[in-house]
Parts: sequence; structure tokens; C-alpha cells
Amino acid sequence: MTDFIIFSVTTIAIWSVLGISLHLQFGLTGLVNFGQVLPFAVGAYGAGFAAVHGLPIWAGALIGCGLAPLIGVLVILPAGRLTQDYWALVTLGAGEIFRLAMLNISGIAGGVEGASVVRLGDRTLAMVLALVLLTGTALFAFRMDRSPLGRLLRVLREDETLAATLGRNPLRFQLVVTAVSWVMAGLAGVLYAHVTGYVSPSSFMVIETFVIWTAVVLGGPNTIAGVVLGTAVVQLTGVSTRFIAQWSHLPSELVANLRLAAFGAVLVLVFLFRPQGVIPEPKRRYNADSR
Amino acid sequence: MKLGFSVLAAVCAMVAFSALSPGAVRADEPPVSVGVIANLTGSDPKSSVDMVHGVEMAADALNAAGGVKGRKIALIVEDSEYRPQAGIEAATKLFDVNKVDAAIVFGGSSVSIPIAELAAPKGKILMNTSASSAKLGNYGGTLFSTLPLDDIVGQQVGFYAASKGAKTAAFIVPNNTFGTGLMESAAKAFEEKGGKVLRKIAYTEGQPDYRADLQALVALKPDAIISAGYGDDTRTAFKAARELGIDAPWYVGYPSIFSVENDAWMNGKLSGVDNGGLDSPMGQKLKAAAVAKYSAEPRPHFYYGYDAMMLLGLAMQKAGTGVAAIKAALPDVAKSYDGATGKIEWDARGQRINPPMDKFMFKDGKLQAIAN
Amino acid sequence: MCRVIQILFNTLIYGSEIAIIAVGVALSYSILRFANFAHVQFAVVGAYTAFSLHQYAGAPIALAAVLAALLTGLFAVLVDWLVFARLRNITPEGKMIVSWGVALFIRSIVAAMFGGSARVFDVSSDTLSIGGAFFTLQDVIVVAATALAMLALHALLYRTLAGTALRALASNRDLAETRGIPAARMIGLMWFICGTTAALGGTLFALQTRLQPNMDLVMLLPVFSAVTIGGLDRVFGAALGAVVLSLAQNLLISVDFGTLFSGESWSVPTQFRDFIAVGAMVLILLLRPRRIAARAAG
Repeated sequence: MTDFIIFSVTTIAIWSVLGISLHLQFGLTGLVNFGQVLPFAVGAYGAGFAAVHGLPIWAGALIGCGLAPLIGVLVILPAGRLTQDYWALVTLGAGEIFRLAMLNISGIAGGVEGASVVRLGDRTLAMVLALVLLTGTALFAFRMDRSPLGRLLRVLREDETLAATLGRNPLRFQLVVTAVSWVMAGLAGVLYAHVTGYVSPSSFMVIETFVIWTAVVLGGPNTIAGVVLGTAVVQLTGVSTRFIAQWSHLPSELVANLRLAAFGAVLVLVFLFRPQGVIPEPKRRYNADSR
Repeated sequence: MKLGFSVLAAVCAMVAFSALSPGAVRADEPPVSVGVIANLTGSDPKSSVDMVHGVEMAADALNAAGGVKGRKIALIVEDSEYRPQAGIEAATKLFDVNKVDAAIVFGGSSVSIPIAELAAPKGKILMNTSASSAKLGNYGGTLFSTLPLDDIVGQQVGFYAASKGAKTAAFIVPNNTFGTGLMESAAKAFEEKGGKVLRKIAYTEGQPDYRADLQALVALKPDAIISAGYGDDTRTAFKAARELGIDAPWYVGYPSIFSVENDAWMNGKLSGVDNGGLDSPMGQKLKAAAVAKYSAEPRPHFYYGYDAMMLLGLAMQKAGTGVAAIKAALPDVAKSYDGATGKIEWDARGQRINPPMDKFMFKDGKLQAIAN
Repeated sequence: MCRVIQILFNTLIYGSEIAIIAVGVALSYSILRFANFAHVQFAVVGAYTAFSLHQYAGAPIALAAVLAALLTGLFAVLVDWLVFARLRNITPEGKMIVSWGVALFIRSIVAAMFGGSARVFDVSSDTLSIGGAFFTLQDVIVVAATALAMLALHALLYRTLAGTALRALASNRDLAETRGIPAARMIGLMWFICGTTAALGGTLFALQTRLQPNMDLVMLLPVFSAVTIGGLDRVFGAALGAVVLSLAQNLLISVDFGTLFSGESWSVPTQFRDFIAVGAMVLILLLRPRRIAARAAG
């Protein structure tokens, strides 16, 4: 049983990092990223590229984490001039372009077949690394949240014009947040590649983005604890379908589809009845004169 | 969310209680668990489901004959969703929670290799029924394949097309390891015999229409189309070819996986190389049993699954349930086992060698064996 | 010459299949101001309904398609009443996320009911040929049905009172409501139109190809790409966008660039078709942001 628990904890930790990354973009800054799977995929493919081309692991990690924010900045640049829903379409499209490119250009990392990468043989070590990454990401996000930048981002989220009247250029801060949060997701991707030991296009489908969204919206997009809680619930639901299928003798196809339907229902129900998520963002008061 | 989940669980519980009694294996000894990993929710789950059926059929046959040393075989089927992550999750659960010694796997290399990585250090046994990447040879001693490598079948298809007098050929395969692997070896063999490859088309799986993909062939007018692929996709490709008025014959690997779209148009036009034994008395008997049980004609992976489970069962019977002993017994029992897919022989890497190959042609609404 | 005709035929056929689904996305965008990702699910639901009516209830295909379209229209109204009507006042981003939830829910339920494997309508149509270019009788029916639906939609929007009301709501919601246009009822009508056209498109798509629960992802990007090319809130712009996209795709994979530039024959591999749809969408969004943003604000 221990191996399975270790595996589940590792999964939850990695997906929580993706959730926190989305929390910074959506919860804190109000950016609707429908391509959250993209930085994750870029990170993983950095590792895949290194493995295929005989580069050391650290080089793959560097490529993955370096390329993710770069692409992020490229994608965010037009956001200053686009309203949110157009930007959402751009990110959705960018994620698919990347996946299609990996699928069809076999020179990068094995094309449709995918590529083997060095696998962390020690599962406990993998879990510890994932937890370290999660802790680091959470602490960083927490600091960012409490910093003057965090306050400004909230203003930006609620009212871009107000932020602009304060003399702040919204785009600059959106750039910073995107770069930071895409590095996080890229790191999660690198770690995921080495935990799984394999990178393939089938891991980075559009649906993956919405599993992350479900977790973030469920837990409460505006708090880190909410994001981690939401991720844990969503990932454990995913894992538990195996046991439900075995125990209920229902076909696993049916159980798997009902699980996804439940995710969809969660997204809708949370918006209808508890838009702030399970753990809401506390009201904050600031005294502007005290600083 | 929590409420919805508990409602779901409650519904499942009710169904479980009503369905428990016939499904459960009851024997005095605890049953031997065998894992099965298949993609039950991917884009084309049919072949995978057939593989599971084959395993079930073999397990039933073994159980009817008294099981393994008096213990029944209980199958635990897990979904790999065609994703590495889900495949690993499935394998971790089987090895760690269910404590199985062996798992029978359906899935491309993106699923099979991560599972093999996991199984090798744990000393588990994997029976591979579908992945045919040469990389799987790195897991000799852990992984045993019941299907032959693509290059063996591909080469046969290439020679076959040339032997039918085709001078030029176009390739139409799905853009996956199976399709492109078979294409490359078939093209090499076809060119070796003096044929000319006009065009290689690797289409994206699961697309609704391949007319645009096949368009180029109208002008190229190849003597033959060489192909491989899975059910729904092949049906769509046939439809596109028919609608575009492309009348070339199709020489394919594994014609039994293909789904014919229009019987009259396809009559005599589709032929190819398939695994041996499909037409043998045993193959026929299994097919009849499968049709009776699942009311559909089984595809090749049914037989690969059947052979995998049979060999595993026979090895367990011979060696008891210690993993190392079963591993050692597998090649031995294979020597005297006459499989649904013919004689099974493994090299040191656990890859199947010298597989018997038969030729089939689609005629009068069904595939019929033709002389070699 | 025959290749040019063939390309034009293919463009028209694929363009029609996408256009009839895309108009609904643009229509709901113009009035409710959000990208409804659940729209493509109406096509899936419509196609499966038509399939069930035809296969299990024995209705002729044409009747099944019309019945399924009407039923899906009502289904769309129901979805609005259950979900979107209760969320009229949240941000467009919020609605968009909710629409993904709705989409995920519907597609999973369809998959749970019908299974992951493909289904096919048991129809077969003859191949016709003009000037060496091939098409089928069914292609003609698809193009004709789409053209008819477009004409009907155009008549409804520009020749009836309800259509005028819908256009008024799209151009200025507040003004329209002050002038006494019953917004709630008109939005109901809008959802009905969306559901009906999408279902019809889904059925045509399935007739041409095959039915499977993940056909939504096959249609999603081309549909949104067409809508984007057309200008997001322009109903017939979306239809035009579909044809433009289809032309771009068919041209790019048909032209033998190799022979044009060197001796060797080489064309863009067909699996790059998806790039063209996604790439066109991203490119248009990046190149025309000012115009789009300005219109969205106005």
C-alpha cells in the first residue's frame, strides 16, 4: 500500500504546483489561461529533448524551465491589447500547437511515440522532491501574495483602469506573473518527466488543463490552501475510480466517464453556489497611510 | 463535490451488491490475482477490449480445468487511458495494492515502457500483447511479447505486395509507432524487390475524414496501397478511397484489424498478412466461443491476450507462484504450447521470433485464408 | 484544372460542415458576450440524438436530423435555464469557465451512454464526378442543407421582428431593453437557434464521417478558428471564416510545393492540417487585437 500512497502524494504535489501557478495567474491577477498544460508540457519536453539528444539532466531542466516562461511572455504580450476571452482562446490554441508540433515533429522528442527519460528509481525521493517543489512554490506564492506586488495585482484584477490611474502599467505586472508562474509549471513538468520516466503527447491534452481548472475553482482560486485542497480532492477522485470500478464491478469506462462528468458538474456547481470556492479569499483592509 | 461523490459511491455500492454474487470467484483456496492493463477509455478502445476478452476466455478455460494448483485465477482489469501517467498509476496499484506477480498489458510504447520501468526493479512479469517497439527488448526477463515485432510483419507485407505484381505503391498508415514502424519495414522490403514508393501518408488517428489525406493518390495512381491501422480509422480511410474513385488493391498488415466499409466495393480488393493460426481449428474454435460470449467477431488482440494468459497460467501451474520460478518456466511451457497465434518462441529479450504468418483476402463479405 | 476544381469542392464541403456550427458561437457571442465552449457539445448531442432516432426508432435520416435539431434546440434552452441564466452577471471569463464545465459534463455523459467506440450511420452514397473532380451525393446534400439553413437564419435575423430584436440586443443591450425588447425571451430564442443549427451541423458531420464522443475536440478548434477569422460576433462572418479556413487548409495540403521550387515532389503533410486551424486563429487574434478589442468594448 505504501508505494501507492507515495505515488498518490507525488501526483497531488506535482498537480498542486500547476494549480498554484494557475492561482497566481487567475486568482491573483485575473488572467484566464486555458493553456495551463502548455508550460507543463514545455518543461516535460525539455527533459525529453535532453534525453533524446544525449544532454545531461540539468540541461534538460534548464531548457524546460527556461523555455516555459519565454513562451509564456510571448503568449502574454498581446494580452495587454486583448480582452480576457480572446487571450483564453490564444492560450488554448498555443497549447494545442505545441502538442501537435511534438506529435508531428519526431526530431524533438520521439514524435507520436514519445521518449524515455531518466526515471527517478527511488519513489520516496521522487515524492520528497515533489513535496520540496510544492513547499517552495507555495512559500514563494505566499510571499508574492502578501507583498506590495500582490496587493497591486489584486487591484489590477478588480479594475485595470484604476491600476493604470495609479501609474502602473498592467502589462508589465502581467508579464512578471506569467514568467514566474510559467517557471513553476515548467519545473513541475521537468519533475513529472523524471518521475514518469516517459514523455509523450498524450499526456498533454486539452482536458488536462481543465482538470487543473476544476481543482483550482473547487478549492478557491484565491487562496493557496484552497488550491492544494482542490487538487487533492480532484486527484484522489481520479485515483479512487480504480477502486470504485473494481469494487462495484461496473465497467471502468463508465466509471471513468462519470468521474469526468463529476468534474464538469463541480465546475458549474461551484460557480452557481460557491463562487469563492471551498476556501474563500479573506477580506483585506489596508491602511494606505501607514507605509 | 463531496456530496456528489458520496451519491456516486452509494449508487455504485447498490449496483455492486446486486452484481457481486455471480462475478466473484469462490474457491476454498484464495485466488491467484493476475493484472490486466488496457486502454478502456482511449479513442479506439475496441482492440484493447478484445484483448481483455481474450484474457478472460483463457482464464475461464484455466479455471474450468481446475485453476493453478487448485487455486482459481482472478483477473483485475485496470484502465491505462492511453496515457503514461494513468498506466503507471494502474501498474502501481496492481503491484502494490493487489500484489499481483504478473500483468498482461495492452498499450503503445508510451504506456508499456513506463510500466516496464516500474516492473523490472520489482521483479514482476509483464506479458506484452500490443506494443511492438524495439525498445521493449531492453526489458528482457521482465517482459514477454505474444505479438511479433512490426518489422517482421512489415517485411512480409512488402514482399507480398511485390509478389502480386505491384510496381508502384502508396502507403496509408496511422501516425503512431505501429503504423510508421510497419510502413518503414514494408517500404524497405517493397523497394528491395524493385518496387517504387510514390507517397507515404501517415494520418492523425481518430480524425473524422481522410479524404484530404488520400487526395494526392488520385493523381499518383499507384498500383497498390499498402496499409496498416485500427478498425474505425481504416473504415474511414476506405470510405475516402472509395469516394475518391481510387481503385487500387490494398495490401495490408493484419487485415483482421481492418473494418471494411463497403462489402461489395472491397470484394477481393483487401488482402494481407496476418498472424498464423487464425484459421487453424483452435483459432476457429476460439472465434466461435468468442462470438457466442461477446456477440462480436474478435480481432487479433483477442488471440494475443488469450495466448498471454494461457502461457502465464501454464507457467504458474508448472512452477507454483514464485515470480522467479514463473519467469524461468515461461519459455519452457511455450515450447510445448500450441497457441491461438501459432507457435510462440522468444529470444533472450523476450521478443517473439519466427512467428507463423498466413495470408487472408476479403471475399464475399468476410476474410478468407488464401494459399501462401 | 481538375485539381483546382477538386480543391474548391473540398473547401466548400468542409467549410459547410464547420460554418453551420460556427454561426451559433458567433450569435451567442454577439448577444451574451462570452465564448461558449459548450456550443460544440450541442453538435455532439444533436448527432447522437439523430443517430438514436434513426437507428433505434427507425426514423428516416432526414426526419431524424430535423427532429434531433429541434430537440437539441430545446436542450440548449434547458442548459441556459439551468446554468447560464443564473450567471448572467458574472464576468465573461467566469462564463467561459462555466461553459467548459458544461462541455465536460455533457461530453462525459454522452461517452458514458454510448461508449468510446465510434458509431456510423449506415448510409452509402454514389460518387459523382465533374471535370475529373470527385464528390458524393452526400456532399451535395451537406452543402445544400447548410446553404438552406444559412438562408433561413438570414431571413430570420433580417426579415422578422424577432430577428430585429436579436440584432438590437447584440448591438446595444441596454438600449434594446429600455425600448421594451423582452430580452429574456429573445435570449431563449437565441439558444434555440444555437442548439438547432449546431445539432444540424453535428448530424451532417457525423453522416459524412462518424460519431464518437470525442468528435467535439475534432470540431472545437476549427469552429473557434472560423469564428475568430470572421470577427467573433458576426454571425455570417463566422460562416465566411469557415470557408476561408477550409480553403487555406485544402490549398496548403494540396499544392505540391516541391514541384514549384525544385524537381522533387513535396507537399505539406496532411497531419499539419490542424496547425493551420489553430495557427490561423492565434495569428488573427494577435494581428487584429485592436479592432477586436475596440468592438468588444463598444
